Amino acid sequence: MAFAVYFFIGWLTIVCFFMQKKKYSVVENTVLFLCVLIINLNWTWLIYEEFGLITYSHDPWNFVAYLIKRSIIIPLIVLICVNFGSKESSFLKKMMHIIVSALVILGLTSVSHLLKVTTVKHWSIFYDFVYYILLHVLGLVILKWYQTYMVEKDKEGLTK
Amino acid sequence: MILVGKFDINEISLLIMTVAAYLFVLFTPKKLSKEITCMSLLWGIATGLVYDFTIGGGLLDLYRENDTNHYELFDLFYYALYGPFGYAFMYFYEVLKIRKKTFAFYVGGWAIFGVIAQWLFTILHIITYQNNYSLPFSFPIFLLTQTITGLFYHYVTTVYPSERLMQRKRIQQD
Repeated sequence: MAFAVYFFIGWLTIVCFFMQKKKYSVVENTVLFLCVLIINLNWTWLIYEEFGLITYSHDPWNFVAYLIKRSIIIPLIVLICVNFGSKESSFLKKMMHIIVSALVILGLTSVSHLLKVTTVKHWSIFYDFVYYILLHVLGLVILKWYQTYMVEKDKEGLTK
Repeated sequence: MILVGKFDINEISLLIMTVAAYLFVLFTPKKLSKEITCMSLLWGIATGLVYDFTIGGGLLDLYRENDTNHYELFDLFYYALYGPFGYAFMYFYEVLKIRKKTFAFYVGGWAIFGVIAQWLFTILHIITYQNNYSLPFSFPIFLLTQTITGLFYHYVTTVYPSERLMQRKRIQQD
């Protein structure tokens, strides 16, 4: 059950991202996706494996559902959120997008607890919410840094 | 979570290899733009992490990095070492002027190189196989990974810039 649910949500996020009108280039989106993925992989490893604050199911299909959420759904939702709206959006509007996006991920986290994909030991869903907000903010900071220091705007090609 | 296990051959060789790999990134003639260089390093690190945290840990736990199954400081050096591999793949793709006809040989060559590198890591005790995993299983994994990397790089450097150029021309015409 959990596998089918998360497979569908994973597929849906991929399709939504594919269909979305993007604010940023393919390279910028790739860099953002990879950064969010790296942060999320390390975070989940620390919380689940090292500190045991949350545990994942030892059923193979449920474990795959957990992997889909960790490696595909969360980074892609952050990407969809960052690409949402116009580049000139106000700070307040951007924060609203981030809060809604974090709430969506939080909802998916609750579903994973509900479907016994993950089990909470010593953790509060509020910590998850704070982490998801920070993940979005960090994503925006990384993107800003990348655009300022890495993107050569006057260049046509990507190789020399 | 521990800081450092036993400081011996795996830690020393990781230090040397990581420094050498990043010196390679810094001092090779620049063939890639800054944005692609950054992306290639991140691509390498993220790919390595995905495998290590998926098949190298969790339910499968097919191999161990360094001295323990837990997170340690030198694991970070190991993850950082993946970055220059990503860079080298894209760098030599340009240096050797890889096109569709040579793509399969290039990717196949990298998959063999990956297996050799992993064999070296097992000799140096950077990686220790467990739960019935053995070196030949790495070959299909490398082949798949390098193929995806190659196809993605091909898209980013050929299809995407011409799309961008066409888009700009359309805007100018409008």
